[in-house]
Amino acid sequence: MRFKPLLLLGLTACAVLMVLNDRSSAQSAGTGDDDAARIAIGFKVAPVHLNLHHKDTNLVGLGSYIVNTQAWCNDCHTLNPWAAGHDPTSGQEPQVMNAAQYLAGGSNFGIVISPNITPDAHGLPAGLTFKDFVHAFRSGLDPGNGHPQISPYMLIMPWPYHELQTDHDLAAMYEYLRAIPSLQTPHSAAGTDQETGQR
Amino acid sequence: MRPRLALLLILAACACLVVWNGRSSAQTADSSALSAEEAARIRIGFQIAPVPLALRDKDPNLVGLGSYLVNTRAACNHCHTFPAFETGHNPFMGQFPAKVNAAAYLAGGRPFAGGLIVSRNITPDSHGNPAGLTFAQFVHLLRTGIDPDNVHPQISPLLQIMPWPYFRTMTNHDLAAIYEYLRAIPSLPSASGTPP
Repeated sequence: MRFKPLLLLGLTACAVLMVLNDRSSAQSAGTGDDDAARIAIGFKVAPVHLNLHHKDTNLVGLGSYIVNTQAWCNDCHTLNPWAAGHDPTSGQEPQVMNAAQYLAGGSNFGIVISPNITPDAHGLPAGLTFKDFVHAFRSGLDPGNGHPQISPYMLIMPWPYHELQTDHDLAAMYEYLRAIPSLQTPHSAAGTDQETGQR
Repeated sequence: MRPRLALLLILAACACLVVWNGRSSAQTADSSALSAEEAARIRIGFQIAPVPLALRDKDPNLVGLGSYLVNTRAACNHCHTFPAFETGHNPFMGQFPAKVNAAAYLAGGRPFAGGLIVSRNITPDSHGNPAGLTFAQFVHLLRTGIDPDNVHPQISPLLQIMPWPYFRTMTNHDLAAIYEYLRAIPSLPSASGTPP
């Protein structure tokens, strides 16, 4: 008789503890949103006005984070990467990217001139559909075929690394590039249409 | 005596259940805390690392993410390995499959500006510190651009080729991932011409 209440008490305590234990670990498991901080930074560091109309906001933010913090696209795809007087490599803080020519290409690498990767008249970054964009990354084939006498592959663009990114991350980069202002390729590039990748 | 023994037994069983329950949820917490996208990045990170990784005393999720960041987005190999790809496996020349030059992976030695600047060895030193930097020094370098070795004071105290002005805005978590990955790669002697 004395045994039964004890057993009941013990089992109840046990059940309560297990429920409490489960709840606390569920809370610590987190929301699974690893990209929230990256997306917030992406919107903070984008140097140009972003057109979010008909865009996936989270993808745009993540794309900006990838493009502007990790893949350093601006370094080659913007003719003068930094605004006058704001070049951090010369100690000119605060750094400011050259928004007037942002990702409009025109940097001369000798055999190659960096292409304009801003949206074209149809809103396509570098004139590429998302399918073409992914294909360019995954295959390395120059969509503009700007130097067939040397190679059909892009020679400066670090595509052999970027091609290994997830589809989701490539989609984020594309969505961000769809959201930035369309710009003319800087005149000093003096490149042909093929060389700038615009079609 | 018997009821007390029974109570003790019940409490012991209870404790066991609570611990077991906690452990099983802790095991799933690691992966369930990750979004599907983040888990995919970590998985790819381990797939594409071109060298064996020393995971002892490392956070595997950070190492995998770090590999993803180093080997895909940031393209570190492009400047910090010289030559970047194995002979006959240079994708820029259409030589597939591409193979990163594992024998010199991230050991520096690529000359820039006619040899005025040479990329550094960023593999772990004899103390296991990538490029000889503690994590605090690593973060400071990337946030400020100040060359910890000041190897070209005649040009600038700031790193001139390294894209730190972009990397400086990364999250602490991503920087920690990159550092953890660099701690896990093999230590290599510096390529010739590499500053100390």
